[in-house]
Amino acid sequence: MNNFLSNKYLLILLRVIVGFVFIYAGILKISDPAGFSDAINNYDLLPLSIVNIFAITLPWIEVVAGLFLLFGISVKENSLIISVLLIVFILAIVISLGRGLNIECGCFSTSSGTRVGIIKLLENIILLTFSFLLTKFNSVFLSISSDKNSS
Amino acid sequence: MKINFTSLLSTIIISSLLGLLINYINPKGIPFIKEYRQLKFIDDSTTSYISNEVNGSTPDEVFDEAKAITLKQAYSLYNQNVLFIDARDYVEYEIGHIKNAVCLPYLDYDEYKTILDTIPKSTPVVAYCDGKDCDLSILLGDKLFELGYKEVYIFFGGWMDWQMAGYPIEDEDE
Repeated sequence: MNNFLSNKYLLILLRVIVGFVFIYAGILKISDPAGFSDAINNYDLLPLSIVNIFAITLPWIEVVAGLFLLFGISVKENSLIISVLLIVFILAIVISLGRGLNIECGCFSTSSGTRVGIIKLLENIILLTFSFLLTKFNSVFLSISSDKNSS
Repeated sequence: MKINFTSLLSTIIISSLLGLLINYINPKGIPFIKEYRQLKFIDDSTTSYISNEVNGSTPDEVFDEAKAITLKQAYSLYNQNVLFIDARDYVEYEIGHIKNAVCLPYLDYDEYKTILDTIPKSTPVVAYCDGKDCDLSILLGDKLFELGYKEVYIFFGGWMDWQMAGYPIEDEDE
């Protein structure tokens, strides 16, 4: 099983998928900072005073980590960042579902109309699995990074 | 699973600084501290103003944004035949809605927006959705105000409060 999971072709596929999803999600959020700030606020989990700091920085962390992942730069570290973000997103969705909130997810664009729900939760869990595998096995295939000794 | 924390922190710091810098120069940038979209409620003393407005007389107050109303005020507007707009999706609207309300799902706005062609901008409108845990009424209310509707109310208590109060509804059994 480990042999299959550490297959370099599988890992680069995961890298591309996770990388693209995060670049795409980040760019959409960057294009509408006010909308994303409202989306975070709707979760009612963060104090108002720090909502905007998250709205300003988080999409850029997504884009930069996604780009690094795509190009194979510090894959372990960047996939770890993405895993942590996904865990936070999953917790936010679970808490919102538990509280019965009917809010926009804010996962991609803020006007895509995706609501917080089970499907969203599953998407995040699948991405988290991919991201975790990248942290565990690393992926240096077709990478522009010179650090190839840690696979 | 050896992790290089310097590299990890670098990504976070570089992207955060990038975000702060771009936000600073972006005309659509937001302030560091969020200002809350505080719903301003109409106070009861202005309810008479609402009646004047419905009767077509000149308003003595110009709305600078969509204003929130309580259940009681919503009922008073309902009795004055003010138009209610349901911001929830079509299925929820079909299951049950405030009597005579029209359906304009905020999340499928483009598909349903033609309904606004029949509603003059001077018409007072009330946007509502499910209730207190739902933001669609605020989003739709703000959008209607941006579109030029001069008198937009947000009935934040929404469908839940209306139903609980036993006020007139239409549902799928009818």
